[in-house]
Formats: sequence, structure tokens, C-alpha cells
Amino acid sequence: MTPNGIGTAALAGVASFAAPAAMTAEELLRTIASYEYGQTRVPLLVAEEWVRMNLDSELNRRGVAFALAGILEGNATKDGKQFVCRQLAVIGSEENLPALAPLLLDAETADMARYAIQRMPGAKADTVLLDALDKAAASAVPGIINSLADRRTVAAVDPLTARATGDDAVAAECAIAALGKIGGLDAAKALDKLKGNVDPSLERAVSDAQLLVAEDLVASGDKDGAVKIYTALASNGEEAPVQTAAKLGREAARM
Amino acid sequence: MKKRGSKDKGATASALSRRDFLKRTAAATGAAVAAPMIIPSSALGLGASVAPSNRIVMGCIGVGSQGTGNMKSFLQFPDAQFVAVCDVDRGHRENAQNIINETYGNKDCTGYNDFREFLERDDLDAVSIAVPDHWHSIPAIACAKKGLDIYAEKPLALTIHEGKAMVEAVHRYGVVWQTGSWQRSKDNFHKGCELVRNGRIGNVHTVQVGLPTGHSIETQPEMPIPDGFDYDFWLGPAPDAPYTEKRCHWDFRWILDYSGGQLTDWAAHHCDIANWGMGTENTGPVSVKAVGVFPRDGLYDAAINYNLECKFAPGASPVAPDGFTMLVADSATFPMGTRFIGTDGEIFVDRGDTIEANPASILNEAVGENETRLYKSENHAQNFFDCVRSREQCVAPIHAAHRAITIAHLGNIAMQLGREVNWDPAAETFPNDPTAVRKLKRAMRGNWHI
Repeated sequence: MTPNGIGTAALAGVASFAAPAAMTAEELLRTIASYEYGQTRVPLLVAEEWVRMNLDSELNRRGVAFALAGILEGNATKDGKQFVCRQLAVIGSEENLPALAPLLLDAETADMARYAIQRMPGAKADTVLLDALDKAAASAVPGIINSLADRRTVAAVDPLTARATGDDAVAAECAIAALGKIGGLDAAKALDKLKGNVDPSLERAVSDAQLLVAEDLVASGDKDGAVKIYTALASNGEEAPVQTAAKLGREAARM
Repeated sequence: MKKRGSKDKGATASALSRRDFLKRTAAATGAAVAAPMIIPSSALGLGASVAPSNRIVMGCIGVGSQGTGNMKSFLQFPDAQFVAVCDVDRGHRENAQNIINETYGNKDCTGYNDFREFLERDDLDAVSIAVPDHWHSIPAIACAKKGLDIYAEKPLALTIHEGKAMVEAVHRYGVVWQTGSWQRSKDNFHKGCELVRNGRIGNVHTVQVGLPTGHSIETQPEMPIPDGFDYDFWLGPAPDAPYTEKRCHWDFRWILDYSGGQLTDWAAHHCDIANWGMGTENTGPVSVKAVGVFPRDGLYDAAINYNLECKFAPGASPVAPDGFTMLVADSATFPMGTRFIGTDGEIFVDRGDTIEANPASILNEAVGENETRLYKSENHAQNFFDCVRSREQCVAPIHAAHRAITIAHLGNIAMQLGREVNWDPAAETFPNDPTAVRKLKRAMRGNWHI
């Protein structure tokens, strides 16, 4: 570990790719690691330019991402880590997951880790999020669920179905909404089972999620499956906006 | 007016008549429906004599300067009865409550800090939303889920993904939507666009859009959060950041965590007019080049100066068979407003009732009944009230707002990546460009999601 708290990994190989002329890559990384709100943002702007100028070369991009991710493994400031995560949202890859995964578990840093992981391509990012579901601080779990929803992680259907009936009402609501966004037959079946079996305050969320799943089925060509869901949601037992949406959706599906 | 609250389970099966259903379908299908000529309710004998029982029961989410301005404008119409306001700033909230109560001579207006509690009410028909851009999608989608009709401020959304989700939600639940892009309800913009759409300047090859410049400010110190301001709620889905006065309220628009700068703020007006005139409200450019000048330090980070070159494909516009270029720049490059340039002339429109043509005689040409007629609204608020009643589409529908602001978002993305981006306007994605695709959306903080 360097005196400024940068992991040695961050500095490995930084000289091998393009760096801004204003300062060396090593100086830049140290400055980012110690950045706090209220200081000049000039080094951050330099770093953003550094990222930008290396976007088009896969090798350089990986190098910059690796160097930045190294900051996450040291004793960098929270503001510095947040800046790094936002850069990794653009250039990060699976290679950076080992540095990001621990941040997911801590309520203080989970959101910044999600900024990077949520937009990262590849199944390993899904795995990291799924693993964090059972290990993360309780307050971080809804956000992790939301990231799985955004990524439409099919492997999350079962654990999210379990969360939908859990004690944490916020996480349960996020889990139900996530099933709708993930879509597909597995999510459709899960939501069908949850119908009538969640906390009464969450019944409406199940209906809204089913509307999303029905749209997804239409998009994938399963219009009959969608019409079945719509017909059930158009019934008197549903709230008025759900009935309206179901009738509109059914009409469109039959066209 | 009729209640469409969420707690009347089963009650609406019969209340939802086929007529209502068909009108909601019409409103939900966007541009596929021929734009109707809306007859003002005043012309139908409603106007000032709207009975309290037939008034549209409304509430406001966001009553800062813009939201309060909108609310005051609405209060001049007898069509609406305001019963509730919601704002995370107690000062704004109480000010709005007082204005409403003084207007009605009672103390009936309820104030809320949390829009979710506001939406627990079962007496609302419609809402006015005027919150910072990073907060646009969440309450709008929540209101659509409640079946509430929505008048909402531009620019539509913080990201292309959020805008798309808003369009889908509004169409899914069949609610009426009016974007606050009020230039569509002004005669000069309507006339200019209608002339362009009917070929009066020939085939259009270029549209120039002039917008305001941005701002910079020095680094700001962290400050104590003012009493009565729920700053954590104000941040909402945006990344955690220390409180400083110049981050919040009107100034949010200079910071990319909460807005897209003047580019998005004003593209929602003048790019919207450009799309209206060109008939490109259901499509977009296929490539965007952009350069910008950004603050070199300090709190603000949105572009101060910007220059976008957006290429539209042949056939995207009915008046540009060979395609056209939309040039969008701050006022250092173009005067504020929208200039259509065709093979047979030019038309320029801007605020202040400005409409100019070259040759000037173009402005004397009438548009016939059998030609393309654009939706005519005499007043933006009245148009919303009329559409809430008729269930017709408003003059500034949500799909048009989405396509207008997409142009600005694409410009910001191209500037941030430092290169041209190619765009598929049908699929609404960047083909073969995974880096740009990452810019379509942002992770939301904590529990927030759409």
C-alpha cells in the first residue's frame, strides 16, 4: 500500500497507456484517492479525459479501468471511490468485479458499486449481485434488487420470489417490481403464485408487475399467454387503473 | 369529476364504459391517431360556469418557482379544483397551500412532503408535476399507475431509458398527458410548423435550433441543510452529495446528476418545435456529432457551449425525402428559436410571437383543409383540461416530448464520449456500440426505481 492509500495494483502498468499530459497517471490516481467534496475538481476532469482518450482501445481501456479500480481497494475517500465507480460505469468490466464486490455489502458504499456494476456487461456481474443479496447490509438489499431488475437477470427469479414474501416490505416491493421487469415465463409463473399470497399492501405491485410481464410475452410472440394474464387483470377484483391497462393491453395483443 | 381512485376495487368495471375505454385507447396510441381539433370547454358552455362537482380535482407535485407558476396559471381556470400540494421544501409547500387557500377562501388544501402519501388520496383526477429533472420519471410513473392524468414539466426525463419508460407507462395505463412544452399552443409556432409540413419551403435539408448557453460557478462549500428542506428526499434517485445551496432548486439544471444542462432544458422547446414542423415526432436522428465547452472547475458540470449535428435518414420526414440535418447549438452560434431551411425558402419561429419567412410571401399562404393540419390548441392549460374530459390526446403528447429530448441526450452522450454516435431510432439503441449503450440509463440510489 502506498502512503496515500492507493493499492499497489492501481499503479501496476499505468505508464503503458495514454495519460493526460498535465500530471502523471500515478499522481492523478493519488489525487483521486484523496479527493473530497469542496476541493478543486480539476483532477477529476483530467481523469475523465484520461478515461475518454482511452475508450477506443480495448487494451488501454482495461488498463485504465484496472488502475482506477485499484483505488477502491485502498483507503481512499468516499468521494474518491464514488468518482471511480462512476468512471467504471463507462469503462469497467468483469475484471474489476473483485474490487467492486466488497463495496456492495456495505450500506455506505453499495450504491456507488451499483453505479458501476449495473451497467457492466457479462454474467459475472449478475453473479456478484446475486451473491450480495444474502450478504449485504439490509438497507443495501433493495438497491441490489433494483440492479438485478434493470439487468433482467433471469437467475434472480427464485431468490426474488422468496424476497417478495419476506419481512422487509421495501425489499419485497422492489422484488415484485423486479419480477415484472425481468419478464419471461418464469417470472410470469412466480407472479401468478404470489398473487393473493403477499402482504395486502403489495397486491397492487403484483398486478403492475404482471402487466409488464404480459407486455414482455407479447414482445416475445406469446400473445396467448399475454391475453390470459390481461383477461385475469381485467376482472372486477383489480383496481381501476389495472383494469384499464389490462383491457388496453389485451386489445393491443389481439391486433 | 369522476373519481378514479385506487381503492374502489370492482367499482369501475361498470364505470369503465366502452366509450371511456375507446377514448383511453385513442389517447394511448399516440401519433397513430389523427390529431383532433380540440374544442375548448368554454365553447361548449362550460367555461366559468363549471360546477364544482364537474371540476377536475388536482394536486401539485413540486411547487418551486416553475410548479407554483404553473399552479397559478391553472388557478385562473374554473375547470380545476386544487386540493393538495406536495414538495420536499416546507417553505415552497406552505406558500403553495396559502395561494390555493386564498384563491378558494378556505383552508382545505393539504400539504405533503412525500408524493407517495399524496398519492394515497382517492379524490384526485389529475396532477401537475414540476420537479427537478432527476425526479421526473418516478412520480410520473407512479401517477400513471394511479390512473391520474398528468401535466408535467419538460424536459421529459433525465435519461433516454427513463423517458421511454414514462412513455410506456402513460400508454399502458391510458392516462392523458400534457408536456409543458407550451410553444405548441402559440399561433406563430403552429403556423410556421404547418407551413413547413405542407412543403411551402420545398424539401427541407437543414433545421437550425438555437438554445441558451450554460453557466459555471466556483466550487461551493458544504452547507447546513436548511430547516424544513428534506434534502435526502430532494436527492432521491441521484447519487449522494453534500448539501450546498447552489445545487438545489432552480440551479439543479447546471449539474448533470440532475439534468442535462441548458441543452436538455431548452431542446424540450425548440427541438420539439423542430420535430413538429418536420413530422419526426416518432423517430430520431441516425447519427449525432457533438462538441461542447464545459466548466473547467466548480460545482456545475453541464456544457456551457455546445454544437450538435444530427443526421436524419431519408424518409424520416415527409418534407425531407433525401434526409436532413438538425443543427443544435447554443446562442453563441444560432439565435434562439427554430429555423427551417428548404429548397424554396426559410421559416424562422421563436418566442415573442416571432415568425419570419424568406420569401416573406410564404407567410401569406393558406393551408387548405385537405392538406396536413397540425393540432390546434389556443391555450396549453385549457387544452389539458379539455383532453382530461374528452380523453383525447393533448397537443404536447409524451411520445413527442421523449423524441425531442432524446436529441439532446444523444448530444450529451456524444460530447461525453468525445466522438460521433450512431443511433437506431426504431430500436432506440446504439447499434454495435456497447459503450454508448451504457449511457442510456443510470442506476438509481437506494430504494428508488421506476
